[in-house]
Amino acid sequence: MAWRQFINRTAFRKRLAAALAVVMAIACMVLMGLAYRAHQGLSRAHTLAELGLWSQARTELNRYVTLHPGADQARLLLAEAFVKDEALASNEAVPQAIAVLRQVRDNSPLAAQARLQEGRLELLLLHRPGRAEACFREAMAQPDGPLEASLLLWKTLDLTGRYYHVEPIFWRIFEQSPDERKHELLAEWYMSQFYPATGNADVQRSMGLLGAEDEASDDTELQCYVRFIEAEPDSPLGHAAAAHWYQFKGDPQKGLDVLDRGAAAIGHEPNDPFWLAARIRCLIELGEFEAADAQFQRWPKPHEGFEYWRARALVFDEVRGDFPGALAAYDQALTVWPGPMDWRLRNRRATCLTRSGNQSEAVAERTRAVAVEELSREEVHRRLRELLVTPQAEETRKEMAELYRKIGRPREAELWLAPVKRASG
Amino acid sequence: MGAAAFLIVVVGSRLMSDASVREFLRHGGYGAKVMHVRPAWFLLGVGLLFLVGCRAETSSSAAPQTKAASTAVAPSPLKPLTSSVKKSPGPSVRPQFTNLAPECGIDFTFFSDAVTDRFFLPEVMGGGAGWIDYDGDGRLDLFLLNGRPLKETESPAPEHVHRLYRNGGKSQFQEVTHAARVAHTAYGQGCAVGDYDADGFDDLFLTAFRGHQLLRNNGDGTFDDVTTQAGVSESLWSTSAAWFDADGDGDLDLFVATYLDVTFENTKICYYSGEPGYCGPGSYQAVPDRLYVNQGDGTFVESAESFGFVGADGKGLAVVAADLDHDLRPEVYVANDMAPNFLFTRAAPAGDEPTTSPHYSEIASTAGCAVSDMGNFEASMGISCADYDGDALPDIYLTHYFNHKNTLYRNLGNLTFFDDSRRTRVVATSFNSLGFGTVPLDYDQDGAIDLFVANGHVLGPRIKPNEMAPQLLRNDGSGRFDDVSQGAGPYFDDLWLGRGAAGADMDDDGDVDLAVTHLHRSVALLRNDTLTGRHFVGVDVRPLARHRAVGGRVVVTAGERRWTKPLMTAGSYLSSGDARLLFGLGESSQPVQVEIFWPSGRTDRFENLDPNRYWVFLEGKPPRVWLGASS
Repeated sequence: MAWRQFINRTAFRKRLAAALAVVMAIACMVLMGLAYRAHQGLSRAHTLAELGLWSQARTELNRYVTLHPGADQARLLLAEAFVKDEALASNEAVPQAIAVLRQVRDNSPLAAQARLQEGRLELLLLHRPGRAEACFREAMAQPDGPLEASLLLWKTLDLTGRYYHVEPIFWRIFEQSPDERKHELLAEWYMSQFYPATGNADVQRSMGLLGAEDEASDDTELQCYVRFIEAEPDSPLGHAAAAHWYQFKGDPQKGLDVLDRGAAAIGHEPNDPFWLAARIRCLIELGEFEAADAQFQRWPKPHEGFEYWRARALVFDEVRGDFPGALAAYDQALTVWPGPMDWRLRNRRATCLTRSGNQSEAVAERTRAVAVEELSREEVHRRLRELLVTPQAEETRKEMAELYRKIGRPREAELWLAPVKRASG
Repeated sequence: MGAAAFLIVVVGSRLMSDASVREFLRHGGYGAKVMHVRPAWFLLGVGLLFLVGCRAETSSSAAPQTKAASTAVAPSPLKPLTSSVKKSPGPSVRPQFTNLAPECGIDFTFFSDAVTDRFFLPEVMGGGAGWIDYDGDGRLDLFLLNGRPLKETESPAPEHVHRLYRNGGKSQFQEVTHAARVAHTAYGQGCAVGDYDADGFDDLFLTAFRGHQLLRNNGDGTFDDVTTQAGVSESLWSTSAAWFDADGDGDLDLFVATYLDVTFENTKICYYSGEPGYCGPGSYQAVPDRLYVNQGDGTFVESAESFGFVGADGKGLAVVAADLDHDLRPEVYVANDMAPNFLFTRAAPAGDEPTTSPHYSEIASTAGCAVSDMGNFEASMGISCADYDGDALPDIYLTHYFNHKNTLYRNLGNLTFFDDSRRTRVVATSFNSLGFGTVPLDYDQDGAIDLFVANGHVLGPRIKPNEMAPQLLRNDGSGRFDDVSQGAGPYFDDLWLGRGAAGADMDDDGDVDLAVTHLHRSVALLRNDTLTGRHFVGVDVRPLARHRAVGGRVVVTAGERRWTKPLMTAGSYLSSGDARLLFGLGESSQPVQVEIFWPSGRTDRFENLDPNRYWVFLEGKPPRVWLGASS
């Protein structure tokens, strides 16, 4: 009762109310202070970053993103801080940076940038083209997908021996690029078309896969693939690229060994078209036709693209002896880049025609193959590469246009020649 | 330049590791310079690249199935190839070859005159071997080519001479070089055996690095050098040669494959992974092949151009003359090194008599046997011509360079071929070797033609691999080959610089033995000691013209099985083998039928011939059993 009397006292009530108000005010002030400090933390982090004080910047940013779960911009900077903070071991820093970037949700306005940076880290620092490719594709799928993601995807495809997937990506980049830069892109496209393996030396240097003074070569190409396998053993890409390399160099058994080791590392036989194509080609070279056919039957949909049509042509031709089917597949493959320049495939089509009893057409096809082969000669391209030092020169444009005209690529031919035509009225 | 440089980064040359990531960062990598995007236009989204980009903005042993032979096989669409071909279960008999050379009196190593760091290409080509019954005793004797100092100013030592070993029977050979007067001292390469003067004794044409030579067999165990008087003297690099009747006049003419124009003045050194080595044929000009047409009076006239034996960039190392299209006339196939191969065929208008207006055309490209099915010309070294798939048409097997496949051109008839190297596992059995001499042989007498290949690199000992194991490839009957070298004898377990290879049944026991030459090591004489329990029939064909038959074919039938072999000459690399034909009959011991399609157009057919012996067929006469070598 005394207690009740006590608290019922008006004066006490008033004091309590005042105390609560003060506490609440303090709490509000603290919260506002914290919010203010956090807000300041982002700008402090930027300042620290500019000063190169990455550990402190990281601390600020960690605090900030904890208080601001939706602060994706801070996450991007935090990812950078992870990579640049020399206090962290790099093998921890880069994965943590990637983990931070992964926290940027797909519906974020910064999702495209986050995926782009993630892909960049995967490709350039971790040498994991499989993961990088996925990131670039995710970035490209965003409404504001940056053009650079397309560009890096192009390079990733070239670096992994899948240059025949590049064409639609290239045209997308080309169409979205300003006119004054298109001649450079056309020159780059030429290098990608004709020197996909060795035409990306700058990228390889950027990745540390090629010394500053070293030239890209067949050997460095293989070294890249070996590095990709080491960095991403659970991806079929590196294994398949190396297998293709060995097969092309005349050692299909070694190619097959690489694929077998890859399957063991992955834990199963991948259903990846690039992988299947490598396996089918190696098996055919080794005369293991039944196994090659079995692999071909695993080919996932969609059934399209140069890789598919070439594999189908080889299986139908060599394995099944279905010459009409093989010829149809050869025809499809020869229309998709690099089909128009693939004189070897054209020769195989000629052989298929011989086997099917159409010798006169075989001879004609062989003649066409020789004509294309002539256009592939080093002398031809040495001259063009020299000209490309001045890609806007009229002589360069005319000769490049002539090459493309001869190989049946009117779009490139017209693009090379268009400024010349405009200049001449 | 270009998009590659749009990228960025920094970094050193090492593969990315902790250290290189650190290095990367030390150089300002990610933020400061990463995304050193160029050209700047690319930074159209620069505002968005606030992080990296933005900051960067500043920076079975199944028996072979043979088809009926036909005199003119029209090309027809093939049935689907045996996609269901099963792996061979392995040889039913274990091959066994014994190197008799050390114990039978043959101790000969080709003198290559290899000089350290000179890298003069002829040094690595080696010399060939030829089987020739020079004394007419019925046993095949062995002729071996030798080198000499390559600088002609240096005098050859007495040992720098070719060798002739007389086969005394019972695996004993006796050197008769000087007695037979074959001790010529040119830098020898290859040899072709043929009776150009039709006196019943085989003569020898010797190719050489400058200065080939014709040795006429006098029939008394001696030879005379008739090079100059016969009109075949030329100073060029000749390699392989083939005697055949090019103009249909009944005597043997001579095709000579020539290689490169290499001299001490124009020789070059090439570098492989920084190591100096021999330059290949791409570094030198080709020399046109030769056709010496026999005038019938002991002289020859060089007529390659007028006969149409002209091809572009022929860098010939091997040649075979055989009827490839069953028209009885021989074609000439030339294996060129790093250049398209040649196929010369005699073009005769309809109704034209064989002996008039001889003119040959080079048709390898249209025939599909000039380059691989990918359109690549290959470094062809040796030829092995035989019917590997049992369709009665002779196919062409070629040996090639290291890490390049060997090639099997399958004959579809009517002079059309295709590269069938994958189904046949020729690719699978060849990419790790560099082949030279190659011999078709049915080592296990199962009726399917197997292959021997002599391997060895050409770049010198500094570049590995150098020496290589020879190969014995077993045909499973469908034309698929498996390497059965392991266990075939110690010779196959060793590494060699194999070059020439010549096959012959030197002991007349019904299987093919081999003489194999090497660089830097003695010749091997491999006696086939494989215990097969199977049967054979030997065919010794002698046309009216008294020289060895080239063109046409022999068909042997035993029960339901039938085999066809072309009457051919040359093949392999720099070498010349047994002119007799051996047919493995498998398990069949019943009498056989032999049909001979003579180059003259005549066809003889004989029934009920006992197997397991040699039969001699004189054109137009009944066969007789060969009774063995005279004592």
